[in-house]
Amino acid sequence: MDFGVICIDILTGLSRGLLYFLIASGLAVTLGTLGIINFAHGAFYMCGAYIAWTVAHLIGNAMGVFWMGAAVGGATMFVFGLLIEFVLLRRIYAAEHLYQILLTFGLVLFIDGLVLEIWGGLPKSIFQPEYLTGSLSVMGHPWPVYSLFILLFSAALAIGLWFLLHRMRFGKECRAAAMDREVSEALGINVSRVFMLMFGIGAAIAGIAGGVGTALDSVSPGLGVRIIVICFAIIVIGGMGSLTGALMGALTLGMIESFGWHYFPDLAMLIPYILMAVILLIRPQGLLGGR
Amino acid sequence: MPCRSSQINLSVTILLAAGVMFLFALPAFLSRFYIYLFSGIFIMTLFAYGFHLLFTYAGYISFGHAAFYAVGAYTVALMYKHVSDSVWLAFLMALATSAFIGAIIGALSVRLNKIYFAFLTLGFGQLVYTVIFRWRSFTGGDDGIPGVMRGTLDFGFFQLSLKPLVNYYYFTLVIFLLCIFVLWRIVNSPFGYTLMSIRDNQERSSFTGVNVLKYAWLAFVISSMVTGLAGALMVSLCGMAYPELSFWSSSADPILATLIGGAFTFSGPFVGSACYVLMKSYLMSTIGNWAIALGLILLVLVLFFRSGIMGFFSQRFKVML
Repeated sequence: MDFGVICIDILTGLSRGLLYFLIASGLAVTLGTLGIINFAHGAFYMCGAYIAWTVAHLIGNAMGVFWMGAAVGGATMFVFGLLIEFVLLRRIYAAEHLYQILLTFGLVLFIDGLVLEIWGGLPKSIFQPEYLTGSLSVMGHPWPVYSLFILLFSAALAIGLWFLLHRMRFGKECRAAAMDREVSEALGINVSRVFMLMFGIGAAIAGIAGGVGTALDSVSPGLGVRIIVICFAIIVIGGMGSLTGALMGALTLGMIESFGWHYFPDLAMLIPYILMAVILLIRPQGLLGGR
Repeated sequence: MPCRSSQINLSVTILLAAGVMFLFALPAFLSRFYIYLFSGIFIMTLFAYGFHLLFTYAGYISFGHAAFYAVGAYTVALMYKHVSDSVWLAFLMALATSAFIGAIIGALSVRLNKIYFAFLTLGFGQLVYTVIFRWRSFTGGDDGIPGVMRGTLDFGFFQLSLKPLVNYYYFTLVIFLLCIFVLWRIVNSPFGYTLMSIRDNQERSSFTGVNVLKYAWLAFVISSMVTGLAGALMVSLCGMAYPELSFWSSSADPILATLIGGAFTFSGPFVGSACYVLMKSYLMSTIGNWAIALGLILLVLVLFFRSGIMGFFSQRFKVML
């Protein structure tokens, strides 16, 4: 076996895995702080992708249109996230989990219908910016520059998120609010505002990831659900509720997918499901999860 | 939560008997369109009861029931196409395959807690969809299996073709009533009460010696068999099996029907399915894209009208319906 090819597979897996982590991190964070399982998280990714496409479509081939698309996608999703938290989720924190799940499922149906209405059913895709096309040479084998870009970009955003949650006041407030809402409020933390912002940030990350991801794959109305299934596979693989678990799960899935596409292309679409089933059978608490 | 509905008084019995007679008399004074629509309501009701058993009695919410619906539908379509036109054989096979797939998916999905269950069923449902969509040589891929017939009922001494719509209506009605009777017995049996104890407090019921995973798994298998039966009935009614039957959005149908009717009543899925099928057929003819409307309806139901239609009446008249 050629060592160079394996290197390429590993790098591709890393790049894919980090993008997956970016998407799943928003879900893991809202789950950890708000305690809400958000089925609409994949729909946020999809909307970010569509908005980035629209920006690229409207502005045309100008400089920086790619960045603008991702930024506008992220910003729109941020506002959208704030609105959803404010209008819908806030009314349902006290209700049973079943109803929270049903609420976000209704949101998925609604957004999917809306997307179909606005953008139609055909897949859309945007061009990668000029300076990110082409390929590098890794040990004599070509590797697309865009994959390297995704790798670095996702890593940077992930570090930013970690910094926000663990090194800044906002992150501390978040974790305090998640642990004990009443005590946090007594200490003067505006928990409603913290929750709203946290949900918005989760949605924004998904939106940005969508904008960057469309240049890799196209976007079509079914994408949101495909993404949410992958996100959840990641959380099951890594272990519930923690960002580290999500990172582990995302990298594992990215690696196995990268090798899978290479060696078993027929089964590649089934890999997330198979991996999820295997983990559930042999280690239901996930790779990093404790009992 | 109020769910005990074992005491039926006399008036309800009379009402039920009248209702059943009404359903048997319906084809005499309805046009073909409405006979078709009512068959659709019975099928949607069975689909909803499949979901309802898990949701209402065991407290597990499934987003992947479309998988079993499609498994039932494809089994019947493939049996008619490749084996024989015997209804018995095709429907028994549909029950067997949906129970088998349900046993596998159920065993995997109940291993985590109830919240993650929703995701797992969604994931495995999409897995079934992917398999149906990609396995072109067996399932016909995205073309599906067109031209599914309605088969022949063989009673030994005489044979009844289900091809005429009225015959098929009666066939659907009989299966529908049988299923509801069986489900009624199940939820009012010790098994049903055990499920409710799992729903109300999983930890406490495991302390009393209930094997929670086993009971949840059994409920899952029964639920997937009912759902598979609904799919089997549907495919002969509309004459085609197609991969969208197993798509996640099709899993929303029984959820909406159950919630509209009232999840925590026994009659809820029937009333809800009737409203849902009528509404859907109206919405599809007026606005093409009804997913938006469905999403909005679900949001409104969850936020403001959680008890559903029959739940509302039950509270109003202090009767468990």
